[in-house]
Amino acid sequence: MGINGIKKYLIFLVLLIIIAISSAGLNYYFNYYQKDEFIIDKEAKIDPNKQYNIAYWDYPLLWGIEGDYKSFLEDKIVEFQQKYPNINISYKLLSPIEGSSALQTSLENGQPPDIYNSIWGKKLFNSKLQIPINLLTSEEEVKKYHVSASKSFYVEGKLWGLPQLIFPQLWVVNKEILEKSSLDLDVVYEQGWSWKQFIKVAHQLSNSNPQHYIIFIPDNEELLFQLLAAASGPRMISEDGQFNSERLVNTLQLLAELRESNVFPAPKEKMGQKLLSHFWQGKAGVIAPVTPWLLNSLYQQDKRYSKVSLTLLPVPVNEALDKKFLIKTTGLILFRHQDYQGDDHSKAVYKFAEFINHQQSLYLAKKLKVLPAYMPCYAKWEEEVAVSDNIKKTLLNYSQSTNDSESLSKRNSSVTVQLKEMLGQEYQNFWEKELSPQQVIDEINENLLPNDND
Amino acid sequence: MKDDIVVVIFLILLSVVVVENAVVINLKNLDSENVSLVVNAYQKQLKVFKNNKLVHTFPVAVGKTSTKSPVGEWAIVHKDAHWGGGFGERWMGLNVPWGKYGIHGTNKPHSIGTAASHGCIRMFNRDVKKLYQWVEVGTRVKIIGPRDPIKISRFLKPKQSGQDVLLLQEKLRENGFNPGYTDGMYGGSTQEAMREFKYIYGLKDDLVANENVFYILNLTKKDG
Repeated sequence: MGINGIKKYLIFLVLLIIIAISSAGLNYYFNYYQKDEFIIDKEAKIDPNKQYNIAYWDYPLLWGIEGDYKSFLEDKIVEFQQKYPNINISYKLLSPIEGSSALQTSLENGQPPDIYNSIWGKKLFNSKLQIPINLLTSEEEVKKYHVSASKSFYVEGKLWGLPQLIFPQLWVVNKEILEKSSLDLDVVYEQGWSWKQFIKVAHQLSNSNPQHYIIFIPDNEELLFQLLAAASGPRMISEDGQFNSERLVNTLQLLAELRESNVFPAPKEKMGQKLLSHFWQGKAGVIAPVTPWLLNSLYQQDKRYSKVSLTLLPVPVNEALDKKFLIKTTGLILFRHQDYQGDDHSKAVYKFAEFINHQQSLYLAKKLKVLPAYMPCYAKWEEEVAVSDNIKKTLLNYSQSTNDSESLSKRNSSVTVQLKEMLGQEYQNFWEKELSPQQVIDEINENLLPNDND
Repeated sequence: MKDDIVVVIFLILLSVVVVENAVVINLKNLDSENVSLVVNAYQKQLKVFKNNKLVHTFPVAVGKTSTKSPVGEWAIVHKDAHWGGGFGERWMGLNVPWGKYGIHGTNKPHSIGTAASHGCIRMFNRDVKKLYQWVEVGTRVKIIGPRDPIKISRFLKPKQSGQDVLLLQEKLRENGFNPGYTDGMYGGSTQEAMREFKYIYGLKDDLVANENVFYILNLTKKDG
């Protein structure tokens, strides 16, 4: 080999080294800097010699219900720390009104709590700082949760929370009055009922006795969302952020048909004020919507008013729908800071989240008289929940349900948030200003801003 | 042996005197920060707390059966060192919205320990002088004791006051909401508690305690 040969060889060798270095560099760059997707090393472990500080945000959930939630949480934290003394938990109970905005602010500041109890049912708050649970647990573990509950937390293949409670979507009924209609309550308990059946029953009630009413709370848009979930049609916001009005049209037509008839007490826009007096005086056959806390209050009052026979019926569904029982699910959401504290920290967060979630699933399901989402505690719940056999049976029918009641969109895009706010306002206008369904749709079409793809 | 017993008794008595004096010295210097008072109308006692620790108990006279002392959570809103009016030394007025109530001394010391007043809290003049130094305008005064049944004959709205508002506040607190002090005034904290209440129960967000609220809180509205 001559000098030229050696030169060529050296040049070739230098090129080879440059290629190797740049390929390694690019590989590193794309793997660690350009990766959009957040990942957690499955092998990461909690360091027993390191102190972990975990912030947990919740709400004082036992309003009007016997029990001391604060003591429950504190006892459970002590129990957890006996096993993991290096994981320190600080908790905060939020105001039900201010809580969501406090979380939003913390997310904007890049310092959300590690764990948040999403009791109002929202699943995806922030796809950047929210930790998908499937990065921290196994498929086997996920299977221990009620299938519909975990399904409701999946968005784009990721599980965005630990399911905790299942809230059956129910209307409260005075059995004495409903039995005067042609409705077979036993069949409804088992199989649900349709909008057509509901309209027929409402007419039968007011025709047989003008003092018998249906009472919807015109100021609580939750009823609209329940009916939207029970309507047929695609989700109202498509994957690409477009508004589809089919469900809304169906739902508003149903409400308008009822509004035109005499099934509600006058003045209709103020009927919510008579909700409880008319129910306990035996005038209201059906009242809705009923929050879990109002329902618990009704259970307590039930003992005082013997002439009313309280029972629960599923929200009626559109005939075109095959689902019979609607549910709403809640659970624990896990977050990371903008300034990520490491995979071992996330593992410590999950360890506590999993522990407290299992404990709360049973405790809160019994207290709030709803269903636990964690299946291993079902037997104990059935044994210990303090409701009548009839109501327990009704609740258990919902455990067979495979439908969650999200009708808008699973993504928390700005268009979804905007639509939700507009629907709330338009629902009130529908009653107060007697808007027609078309006027509501026009109003929304006119004011809903196009999707910003966030 | 006898001498030993005498010495021991002497030492015990000495230590009691020393401790008592220490407490008195300590109380003389008690500053008004974080002081709160609890009047127990059943026991006819006024207890002074500093940082939630009991530091002194005074005997008092409370309202008669026909003119009971106002049960609730009040604040001292007025202090008068030269008050007398033939009743006794000092006056510490309370923010009770339905009448003039306060803590004061007395020229009827024999009434202390009984239910004898028109609702005010009477103290020995020497005691009220001490207490006067330990409290300031704003000091919290909680009165517990018997109470006549409260009648609710109206819907309750922000800025209203009265015993019915106080009952609403008590019921809100029992149900896990925070209406602030149970002082019979439908102020900011009570409004906040009512806003949360209506939200939790899915009712119209108008801050009016109406029939729905009364049903949930087990309050009976009597028209009148």
